[in-house]
Amino acid sequence: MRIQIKQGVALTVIPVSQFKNTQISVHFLENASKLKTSYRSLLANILETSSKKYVTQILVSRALSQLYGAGFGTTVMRKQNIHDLTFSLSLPNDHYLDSSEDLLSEGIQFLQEMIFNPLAKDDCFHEQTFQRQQANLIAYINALQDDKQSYAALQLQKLVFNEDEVQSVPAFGDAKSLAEIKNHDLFDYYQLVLAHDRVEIYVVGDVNANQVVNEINQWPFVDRSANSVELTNSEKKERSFQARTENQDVVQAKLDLAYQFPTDFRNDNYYAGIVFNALFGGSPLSKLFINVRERASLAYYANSSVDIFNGLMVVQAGINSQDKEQVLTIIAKQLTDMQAGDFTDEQLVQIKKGLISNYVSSLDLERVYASRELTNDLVGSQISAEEWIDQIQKVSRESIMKVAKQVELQAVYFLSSEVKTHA
Amino acid sequence: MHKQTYKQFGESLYTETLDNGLTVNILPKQGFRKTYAIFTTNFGSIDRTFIPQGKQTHVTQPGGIAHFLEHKMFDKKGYDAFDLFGKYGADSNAFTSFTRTSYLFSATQNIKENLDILLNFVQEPYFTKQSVEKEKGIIGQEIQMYDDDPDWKLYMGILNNLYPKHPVHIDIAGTVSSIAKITADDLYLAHKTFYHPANMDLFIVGNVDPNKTLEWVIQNQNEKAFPKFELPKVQLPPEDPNGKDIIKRQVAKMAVNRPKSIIGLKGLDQVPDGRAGLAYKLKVNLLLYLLFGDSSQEYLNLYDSGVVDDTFSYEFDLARSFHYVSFSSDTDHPDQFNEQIEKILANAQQILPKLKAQFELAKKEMMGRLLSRMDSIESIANGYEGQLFDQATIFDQEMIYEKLTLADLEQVAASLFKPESLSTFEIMPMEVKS
Repeated sequence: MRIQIKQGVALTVIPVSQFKNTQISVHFLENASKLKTSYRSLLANILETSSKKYVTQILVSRALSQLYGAGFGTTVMRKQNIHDLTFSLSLPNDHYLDSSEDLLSEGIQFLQEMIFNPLAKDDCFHEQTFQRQQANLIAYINALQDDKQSYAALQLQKLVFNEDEVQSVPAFGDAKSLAEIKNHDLFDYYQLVLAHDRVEIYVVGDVNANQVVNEINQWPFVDRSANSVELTNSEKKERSFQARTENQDVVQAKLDLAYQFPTDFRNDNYYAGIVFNALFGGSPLSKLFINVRERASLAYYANSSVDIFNGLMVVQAGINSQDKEQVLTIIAKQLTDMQAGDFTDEQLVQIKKGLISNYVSSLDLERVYASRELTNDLVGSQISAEEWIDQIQKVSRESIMKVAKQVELQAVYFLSSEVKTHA
Repeated sequence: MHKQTYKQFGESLYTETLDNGLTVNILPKQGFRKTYAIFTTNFGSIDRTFIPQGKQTHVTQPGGIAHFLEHKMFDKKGYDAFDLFGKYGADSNAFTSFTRTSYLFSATQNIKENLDILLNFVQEPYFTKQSVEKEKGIIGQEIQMYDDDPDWKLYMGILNNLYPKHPVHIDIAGTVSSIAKITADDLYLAHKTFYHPANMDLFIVGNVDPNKTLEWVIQNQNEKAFPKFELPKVQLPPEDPNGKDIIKRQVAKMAVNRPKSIIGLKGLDQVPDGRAGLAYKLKVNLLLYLLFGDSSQEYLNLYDSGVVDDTFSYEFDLARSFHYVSFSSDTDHPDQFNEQIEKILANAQQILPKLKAQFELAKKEMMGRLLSRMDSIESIANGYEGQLFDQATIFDQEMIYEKLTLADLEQVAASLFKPESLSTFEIMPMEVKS
């Protein structure tokens, strides 16, 4: 059930009886600029740790303990150009507790408090909280460099996207812009978020839909027009090939490759693209896994993943520096083999079985219900599990080869260990 | 088959011990589409020195043998178990810990076929010299990946300090040089010693009929002959009961941006056997939550004074033959971090009596967390520790929590928190090379 509680603010209740918990997520969505990406990331951190009623982290945590250890958090994500600042709450269903409380109602009130009543004074967030969260977020981003797999992925992202494109920075922002944010500006910006962002709210669980609607209707949202916040099939961008090698004192080298990938969402090409990726490098039965890892023993991980909304496929492998050329050759060979249709019918059947099994299995994860529905709502089309499975079944060898031929190497980032100095 | 119903949670667990000694647990999950099965042996990375089945004297195998064996089990004569699962639409995986090795699959169809594949590939070893050599390249890369992971280095660093003799200080995967020594014969020997059904358990959760499923398992097992078996005799080196062998502090340098610190507290007290051991574990978890959880005043003080940040975490690990607590954080003030944690531990007996209200709240929190884990079939099955806690499952924890008192926590704090059992390991950034 989906209803507009205000213009631009929608509430979707998804009743599912198999779970012992109820999950509520509130998504603030906006085509945010690079700078505003950092603003939103910092907002997520500040709003997670305090409110007018709960002025310290302890009080927030204790309120959650009162709700039987409910899980509360804020996250930031991005799909294409849309930045998603999410508040989420997961709380046990009263049905399984010796309790006379109405936990769902209390949970909804808790979320309202966290979203609408930030700890603030004179149009600024609580100064100490602001400073601490700003410093912590910058420290977190700097520390990400210590995780070489993430570091390499971020460097590849920078190599692929031009500096003026929002995708060149991660959804959690960049340290430099974060350091420049002023408390007052951030507070002002949050007022804009509350008043103008497209909002999608999802409630999943064994709940009474009317109760949910009545209670969330009490939230002080105002009408807004947010028509431009939606996912589209973006046009293919002309990009020149980029390559970069960096040397660091690491034991294992990281080889990350980016490919242009056909972007059409939910047409024939789309399903063929899903099967292509699983066959190429997206599963342990894939060509990359078999040939780079199992046959050549050159890597522990070698896989591919697709970001359909940005028309991008990424391949990641952890290898020895001296094996780089050999690994590149094997990866390139797998792609030409895919283009030539060099895979067996049996492999194709297996890969499809695996994809379908994963899809059906994902319905046992409560969080999937909201995230799938959000994608549907942003694309503006619905698809049932039956349709999805049917479309995957229909994918032909020819359509996979057609996708493979549109896949084009665009960037190679290599984190080399060659200057290694032994301590 | 024994059926135990947990009315409050609307769940029933079916348990059976087969003639060959295998323990089988089956939990049908209403409304779920997936089935998850995990087949575990009580054999992990610490089990290097043991008396092989039918022999009299100890052997010591190379570090990383249990994990290597886990990798090699999938490789069969003429086929790969992984691919075979794929044919039947199942995802499969495996993992090795300090004390256990587990093999698993999840699937939405062909459950009987997939169960057969699981039981067969784990119970029918097949190793060749050539395939063992080839695996060394893959596992070598896995080890090197961890070599670059500062959090893993920090964790292994504190284990090395706390357990300089006990093999828990050896990386689960071993080292590039230790795995170089592994032979097919070593793998056969380990398999023969530890992979007997009497030393294993099978946990199945999801969209299953318990009676039919048990029948499938029995049918599979009846087709196989297992030799007479004695539970494995693993030898561990003696440790100082007062912790005198603990290395108090070590510092390593790595290419990190911020210093990282971890404090370890080695359990020198005796953990009771069976369910009482589980109660001990839950007590320590509650105790640590009250003193260091994100709703504790002590944590807030650490956080607000800038000694720790959001990277702070604590962990209690209890397994066969060892237990320890660790506290870790990125911190620019490792000395203060040490001092503050030590102080809180030393003052626990003064702090705890003031936390009556918090204690009740914490129990509520733990109840909610149990319910949250019950929505994950993987979590239900993976949380099962077999004989360590006398076959207890997540559904038994609620009863234990309910009975706990603040006095229980004071008691456990008194036996666990000893200043002589503390140690620190730090990772400092390398000097910047220009």
